[in-house]
Amino acid sequence: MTTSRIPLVVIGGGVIGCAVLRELARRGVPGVLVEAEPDVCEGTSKANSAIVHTGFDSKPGTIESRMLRRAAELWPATIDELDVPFLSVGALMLARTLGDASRLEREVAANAATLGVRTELLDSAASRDAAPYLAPDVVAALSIPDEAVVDPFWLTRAYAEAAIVGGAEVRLSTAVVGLEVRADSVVVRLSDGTELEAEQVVDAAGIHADEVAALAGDRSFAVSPRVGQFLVSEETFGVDRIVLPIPGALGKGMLVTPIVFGGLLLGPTAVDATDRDDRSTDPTSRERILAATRAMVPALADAVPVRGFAGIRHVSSTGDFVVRPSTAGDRLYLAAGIRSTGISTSPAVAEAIADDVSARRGWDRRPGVRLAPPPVALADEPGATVCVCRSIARAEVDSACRRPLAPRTLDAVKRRGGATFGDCQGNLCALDVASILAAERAADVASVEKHRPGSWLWEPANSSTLRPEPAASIQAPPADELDVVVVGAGRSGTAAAEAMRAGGLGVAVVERERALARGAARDGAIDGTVVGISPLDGRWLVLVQSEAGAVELRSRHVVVASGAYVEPREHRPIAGPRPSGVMTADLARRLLHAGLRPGRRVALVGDNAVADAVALDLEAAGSAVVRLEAPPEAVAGDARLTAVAGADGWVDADTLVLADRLLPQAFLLRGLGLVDGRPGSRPPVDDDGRLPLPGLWAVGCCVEPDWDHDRCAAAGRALAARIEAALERHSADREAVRR
Amino acid sequence: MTELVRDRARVHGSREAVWALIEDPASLARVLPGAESVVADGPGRLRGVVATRIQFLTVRADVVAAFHDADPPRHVRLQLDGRPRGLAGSFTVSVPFDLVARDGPGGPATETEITYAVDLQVTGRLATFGAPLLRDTMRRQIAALVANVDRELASHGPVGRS
Repeated sequence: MTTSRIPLVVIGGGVIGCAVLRELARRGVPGVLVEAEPDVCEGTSKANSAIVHTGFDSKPGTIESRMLRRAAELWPATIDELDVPFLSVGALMLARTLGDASRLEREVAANAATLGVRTELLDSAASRDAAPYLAPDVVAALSIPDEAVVDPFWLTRAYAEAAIVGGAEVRLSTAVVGLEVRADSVVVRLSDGTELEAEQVVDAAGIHADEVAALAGDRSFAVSPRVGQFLVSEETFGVDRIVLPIPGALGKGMLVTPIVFGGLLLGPTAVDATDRDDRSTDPTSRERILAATRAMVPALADAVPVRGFAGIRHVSSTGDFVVRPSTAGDRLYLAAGIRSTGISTSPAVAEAIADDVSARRGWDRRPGVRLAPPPVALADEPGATVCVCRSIARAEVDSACRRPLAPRTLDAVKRRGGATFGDCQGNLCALDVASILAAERAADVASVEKHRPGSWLWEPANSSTLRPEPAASIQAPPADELDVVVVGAGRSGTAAAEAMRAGGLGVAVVERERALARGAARDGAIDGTVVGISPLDGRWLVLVQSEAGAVELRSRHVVVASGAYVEPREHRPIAGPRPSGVMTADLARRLLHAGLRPGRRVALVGDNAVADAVALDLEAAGSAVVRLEAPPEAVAGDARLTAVAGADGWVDADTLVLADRLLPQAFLLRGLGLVDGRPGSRPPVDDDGRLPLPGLWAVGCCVEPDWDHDRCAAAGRALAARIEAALERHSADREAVRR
Repeated sequence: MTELVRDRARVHGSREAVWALIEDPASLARVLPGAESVVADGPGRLRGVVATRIQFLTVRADVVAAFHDADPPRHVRLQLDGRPRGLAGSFTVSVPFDLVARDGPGGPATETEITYAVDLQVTGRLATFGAPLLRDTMRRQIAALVANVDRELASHGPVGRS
C-alpha cells in the first residue's frame, strides 16, 4: 500500500469542495481533492436552480444566513477572478392574493431588511411594468434586484482549475473507503488501494458527507436526500429574471429561472427520498412543474421542454449547515448539510473553513493570492461544426479537452462547452464529440463512456456487414454570386437543386453529412455546415463552416432543406434514470456507418421507413432487435440501460433506439427570428414554401417531417419551378426598368 | 437585428470634439474597447482584430468597423461586422449614436450627451450564448467605449471644444 503525507485532503468535488481546495491553495496550502465520480460537479452542485441567492429569505442567526451574507460581499471579486458565466438578473417574488401581498411586506421584505438585503415592493401595475409576462392575478411582487444566476459547471470547474494552477491536485473516480483520525493527521484510504496521510481533511462529500464522517466514527449529524426535478425550456417567452411564488405551507414552491446561456429552468419539485443516488424523473412531476410555473407565467403553456433532470438536495439533521470540526477530532473538518444554497455560499464557506483550519494548523492566515483558471484558448480556425444545434466547432471541443481538469467522459465534455446539450441532445453529434475526446486521450472511441463506469456508449461492430459508401468528392465553392443556395442534400434539396440546375440556374448545395448522403445527393455538394444566413443588400449571405475553414456564399435565394431529426428521449415524458444506451435512430445510423454497434439487445420504437432501415442495419451488425409498438413509459438502468417498460411489461434491453417521431430540423432559422427556441418548431412557410423574408424558402422534412422520399423529391421539384419563375419575373422587371 | 441595449451617457467634451474623435481613425482605434491592430481602411472605415470578453471567454474577432448615416455633429451609426476567431458564425453590431450638446462645469456646451442603441445580429455559436449574456457583454462594451472616449477627450484638453 502506498501512503503519501500531504497537508490537505478535500473529500468531494462539488462546488463546496472545489471552493475549499482553491481557497487553501490561494493561501499556499495546495491540497489533493478526491472525487468518487469521473468528474467534478456530479452531485448536488450540478442539478439545482443555479441561483446565487442574496439570502433575503434565510433564517437570521443560522450559519446558512451568515454565509449567504458574507458570500454576497465576496461574489464580485470571485466572479471577476474566476471568469465564470454570471448574470445579475434579479428576482420577483409574487403574491397572488391580498393576504400574500401583506405577507410579502410583513414577513419577507422585513426579513430581508433585517439581513441587509435590498428589496422593493411593487404593486400589481408596477409588477407587470417590470415583467409583462406575469399572470394577471399577480397583485404584488417583491423585487430582489441582487439575485443572480451562474453556470454551476463553470463555477465548480473554475474553482478546481484555479486550485490546480495553485499546485493542488484533483483525483477523479477515486472514492474514500476509510478514514482514520489520528492525533496529528488523518489517514484517508482510497478505492484505488492507496492511502493519503494529511495534516487536515475536509469532508465536503455532499449527500454522502455523513457516510464519510461515519468512516471516522463521527455520527453527530445525518444527511438525507430531497429530490428536485427540473425542466429546461430553450424558449424564454420574454422572462428576464427569476420568478418565484411566495413560500407556502409546502415550501418554497417552483421557480422560473433564466439560464445564463439562454433558456429557462422550471422547477424544482421537492420530494423527500431515501435513495441518495436516484435521479430519476417522472411524467407526473413534469406536469406539476409545468402547471405551477404556468400559473405565474401563462406563456409557459406553450413551453416544450428540451430536457428534464433531477437533483438531490441535502436535508441536514441539524436544520442548518454543518461547518465545524468533526467530533472525531479537528483534523477532520465538516462541510456538510449544505442544503440548496451551496453555490451561493461557496465563497464564504470556503473562506470560513480556510480561516479556521489555518488557525488550527498554524498555516498562514493572510488573505490568499489571486488564483484563476487559465483563460479559454481557442485556435483561430474553428474547424468543422461538431454540434449542429449549437454551432459548436471542433476548436471549442479541442479546447475543452485540453483544460487543466480535462474531461474523461462524454457528459464531462458536454458540461465544458455545451456540445450535445442542444435540441437533438447529442444524437446528431455524440459520435463526433466522443471521437475528439478519444483522440485527445489517445484512446479508442469505443472506450468512451457516458458518465460512470459501465456506461458504455457503443462497441465495435463487424463492419463488413455494413454497406460501404464511396468516398465523397469535395467541390470548391463558387466565387460569384449564385442564384440559389440549397441547405441540405436530402431528397427535397437534391431534387430542387437538380431541377434548378437543369433550368440553367447557378446553384450550390451545402451538406454537412455527405458521408450519409447517397447517390445524386453527394454529387457537387459543398462539404460543410451552414452556420448563418444573413440579409445583405437585397441578397443573402450564407456562411458555411467546414474543416478547412469558413466560406461565404452570396445568393439571391436560399432554400432551407435541412431535414428532420428524431425526437430524443429527453424531450419526452419517459420516466426513469439517465443511463447510456438510449438514443435515436439518428445516432444509431451514424454509429453503424462508423462501424460501431449501438448495443447488443436493442428495443426499437417506430413503425416507419426510418425504423425499418435501422432495424436491418442493426441486425446486420449482430444486434438482437425487439420492435416496440409505442415509446416506453419508463427505462431502467444505472450506468447502462437494462430494461424498458413496454406495453406488455418490462423488456430486457441494453439499448433503446427511438425512430418514431420526427421533428423539423430548422435550428438555422432561429437566427433570423423565423422559428423560436422550442424544439420541433416548424418554419412558417406559405403553401408555396415561401418564408416571410423575400428570397427565403423551406422545403421537405424540415417543414413536413413525416413526408416520405417521393413526396420530398416532388416538393423539391415544385419549389424549383417556383424559384425559377420568381427569378424570371425579377429579370423581366429589371429589364423593363432598364428600358 | 435585435435591440439589446438602449441607453444614454454623458462625456466631458463638446459635441464637436466628440465628432472630431470619430473622424480620426487613430483616436478611434484607441477608444474601441479591446481593439488590437486596428487600422484605417478607407474613409470612415477601420479594419482589425477586436477582443471582447464575454465573461467566461474572450472572443477575438476580425472586424470591419464603418460609419454610416453621418449627420455631423449630431448623428452617426457605427456598424461592426465581424467573424469570431475559433467560433463558427458571424456578428453585426449596429450602434446609432445621437449627440446632444450639454452645459457642463466648463461652460455652455462643454459636455455631450450620447444616446445610443445596440442592435445585434449574430449567427452560429454566438447566437447560442443567449440574449442575456450578449446584452451584458454589450453593456460592458459600450460602458468601456464611453469611458475611453471620455479619457481620450480629457487627454486632448480643451481642443475642439466649442
